[in-house]
Amino acid sequence: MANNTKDKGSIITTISLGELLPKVIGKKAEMNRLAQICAVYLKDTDTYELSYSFESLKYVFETYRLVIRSDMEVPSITPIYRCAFFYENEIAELFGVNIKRISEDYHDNFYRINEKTPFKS
Amino acid sequence: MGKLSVIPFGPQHPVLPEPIHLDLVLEDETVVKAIPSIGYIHRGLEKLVQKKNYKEYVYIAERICGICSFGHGMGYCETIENIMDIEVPDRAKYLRTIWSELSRLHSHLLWLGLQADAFGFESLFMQAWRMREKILDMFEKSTGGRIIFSVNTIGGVLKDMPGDMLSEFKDILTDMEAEIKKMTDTFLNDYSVNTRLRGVGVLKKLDAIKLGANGPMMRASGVKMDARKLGYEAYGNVDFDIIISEECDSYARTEVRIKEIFQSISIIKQLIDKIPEASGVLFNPPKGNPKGECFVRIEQPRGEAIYYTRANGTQFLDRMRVRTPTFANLPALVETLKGAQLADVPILVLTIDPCISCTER
Repeated sequence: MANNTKDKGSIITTISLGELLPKVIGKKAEMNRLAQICAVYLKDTDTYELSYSFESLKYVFETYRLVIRSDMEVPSITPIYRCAFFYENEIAELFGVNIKRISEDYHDNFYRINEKTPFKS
Repeated sequence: MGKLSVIPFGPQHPVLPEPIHLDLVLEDETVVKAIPSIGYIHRGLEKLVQKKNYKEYVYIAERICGICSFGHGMGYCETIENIMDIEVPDRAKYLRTIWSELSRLHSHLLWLGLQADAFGFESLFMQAWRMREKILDMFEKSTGGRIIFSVNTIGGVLKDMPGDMLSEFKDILTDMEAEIKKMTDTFLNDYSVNTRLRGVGVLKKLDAIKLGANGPMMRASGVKMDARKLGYEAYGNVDFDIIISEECDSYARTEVRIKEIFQSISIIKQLIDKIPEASGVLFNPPKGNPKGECFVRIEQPRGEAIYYTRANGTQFLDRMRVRTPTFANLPALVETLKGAQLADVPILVLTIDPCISCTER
């Protein structure tokens, strides 16, 4: 990658719930690092936007965007990327995203906060 | 099978600069499993973005952490500048890069002192922090603050470093280089340091990638990645190589950080030589409110930090997310602790250079 390239963000691709695991497996097969997982709660539509970002060894940064209703379940990607449990516990506790089968599930005790889902407001 | 027991490590521990708790499952003296637990200093800073004007939030962002303060302010500003297509003046880019590298210098010296103190090398701890004081003096002279600088603003920076100040800093760094070299040669060649660090906490290259490690933790496992190579701010105009080690152990992580100290000094000298003349314009102020989203990656002292901002056209943002390097390195730490001896746990925790303020925000 050229030294003077300005990183203006990344490639963001919207995917469906059913595509999540195959896409993540694809990224693992390409030796991409899991860069981050974050959530945004959209109050107007009562939906979550989940962004799963991956980074290749050549600095290519790609984000898969998943938009789900707040009552939907999302499969955990910890069977593919073990390190995802930190991110998934965080968004489950702070936002209330319903993620099933996190390998190390802290059951809302990750951040030790009194208020339930404080970021979902 | 030996006797199984669970030992709590932290949140208060002599080697921990910040509170983190680990439940160490031990079989005799060997760690079988480590269960991390955070949340002692979660302040909900990301939620504040919905209540603070996006221009004011710079001052919140730089208070995420005291050591990585400048980088957080800069990373946040870059996301807004990218969304609003604000061009930062060239001199401001160079100034940001100089302060960023000075932050890396002081952070690595701080860490070196803590690492030395962890295995009882107190004199080295004092020497490292004495060196660090010179960097903090430079910060105070150029920004007015030793830890929190408040010089980042959207569109550039608020303060300049005149030519005579830059020359003075270059001389100080040249003198420091010789002193740091003496100190680090002792550190790297000392028998007791080698015994405590070599072969301890091995993290293989493939594991580093799979576990999402970053920064010196990852580079010490042979992965050649450094977000500065993206060329943000003035990094595209300086020459530097990515420092890696193939040894993958705690000694390698120490060695990588020590070499990065000298690399930072070299980068700062290049920046001082190449900085454009002052034109009187240090920042281009934003007009209106941002609308859109952006990811920005920068290389903080501890590794790659990812800033995500989502704006809705009002003065308050929908979301600001910081994925800090320690947050990404914790799973790798948990992995290196497996099979380690209890006496090595403090050293291993320190080799990721933990910044729990950043992790919890």
